[in-house]
Amino acid sequence: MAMNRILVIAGAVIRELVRRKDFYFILALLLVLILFASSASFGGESGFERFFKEIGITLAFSFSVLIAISFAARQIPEETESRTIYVLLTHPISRFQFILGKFLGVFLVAVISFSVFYLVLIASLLLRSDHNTPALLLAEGYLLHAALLAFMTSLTLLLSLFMSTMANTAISLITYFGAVWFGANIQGYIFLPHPELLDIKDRLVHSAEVIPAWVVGSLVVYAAAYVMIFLTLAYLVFRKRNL
Amino acid sequence: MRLGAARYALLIAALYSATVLFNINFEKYFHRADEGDVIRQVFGGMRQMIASWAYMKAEEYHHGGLPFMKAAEFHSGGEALSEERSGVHHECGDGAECAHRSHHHAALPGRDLYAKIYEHVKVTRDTHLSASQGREILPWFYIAVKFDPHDIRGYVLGAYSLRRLKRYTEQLTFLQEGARNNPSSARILTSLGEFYFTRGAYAEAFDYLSRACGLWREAKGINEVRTDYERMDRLQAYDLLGAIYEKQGLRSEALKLYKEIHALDPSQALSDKIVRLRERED
Repeated sequence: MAMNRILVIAGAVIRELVRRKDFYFILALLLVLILFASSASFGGESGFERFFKEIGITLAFSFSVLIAISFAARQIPEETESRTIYVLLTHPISRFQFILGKFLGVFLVAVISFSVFYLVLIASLLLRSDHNTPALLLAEGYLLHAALLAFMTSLTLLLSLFMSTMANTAISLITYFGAVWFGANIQGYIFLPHPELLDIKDRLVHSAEVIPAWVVGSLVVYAAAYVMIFLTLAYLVFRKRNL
Repeated sequence: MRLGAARYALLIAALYSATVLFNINFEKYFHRADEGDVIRQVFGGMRQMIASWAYMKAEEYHHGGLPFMKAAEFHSGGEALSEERSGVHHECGDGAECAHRSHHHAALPGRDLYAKIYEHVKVTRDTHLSASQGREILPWFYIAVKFDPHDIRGYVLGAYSLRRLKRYTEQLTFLQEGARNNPSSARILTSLGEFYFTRGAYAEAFDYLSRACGLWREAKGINEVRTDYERMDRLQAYDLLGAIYEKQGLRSEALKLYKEIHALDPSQALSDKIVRLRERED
């Protein structure tokens, strides 16, 4: 019964993905940029494998994170501003179920979008007869990025309880790009989360070595632990919120 | 993120503009203004940032994906390409990626769990691209000089990468473009001189190398010698020009050049040359 309520809230978020034009626009953008990267020629020469893979993976990863953050950042503020949250909470839905439903909905939206982007990328690699990256490594890239999307979704959902949609979107994007680009270079970083470990773009572009299963498993558990921490914190804050 | 049709049109226009940026000859349209021009400062700075980023990508590719900052732990400033061009590294053969410096980076303290996982998910080995994979580096040099036509390092090392791939025509075209955009760069003129010298076109080589030596002598602005790579380029310009003089039988001119560069950069090889020429003169 409780699961049904969570799924109802999550379903409403997924319907939003279909209704809104964000996803279609981003998909069109991805296709245009992939076509451009595919046809780009340098010094009269084209068909650069690593360059193409780098552009394609960067776009698929970044665009799905953008969707996760933009959806997560506006869920609770929009419900509050439009006062639909009051209607929702008059139903037998607990605040914990509400938070969990929102998280699940945004996470699924992000994963669905990412799956489409990733499929476009894999299809274009196959069309270019690029079989250098093992299928298992591609699958690991998919799984770890899905874990990263869960991490970013829960973090953004937590931050949305403290700041406006725009500020939250900006801070969450800075957190993502900052961690992915500079995460491993910050000294004294042991007590902070390491989302950069979930990003294996460089491996996918430059290496054909598959990541051991214990590493992937540990990272998924690691991400799940942070998701639980962020969602618990979000619930604790939201529970006390005077609505 | 609610967007009206007009905003979508604007976004598409912006996207289209971004994609055509690569095909624009920036130099042709570049607004040349005073140093104090705010627009030039802001946008010029942004273009240089993109060029630097592209250069870092080239270095990253050269190291088989090892991030630039990690590569910097092994090489001064991460410039392995500069080192290699100067003969510090040996060239990689074809086949599997060259792993002559295949070691794990030592930046992470100890061998904790983070370090172990990091090693598995990131590129931590310094492996150089094989000769056949070397072409993968090229797009980043073209992007670097497209965004900053005054990126001399991009032109010199891009041309070096083309030479490694035995793409001599493209190498020459790339260097000539660099010389057009940076007519007073001693490094580019030295590279052009070297290109002609190795092909036995001594008249062309003489032209470029004598101009290069003149600029090295002045040592102004971009031709100031600050790094070992610039020092090596200067040495090469003098050395090759001296060799041309020798081939022409102008030993005293060659001796003068060798002495001049020996005073700036003493080396045993130069001493030997000077001694040899003096003996012949006597």
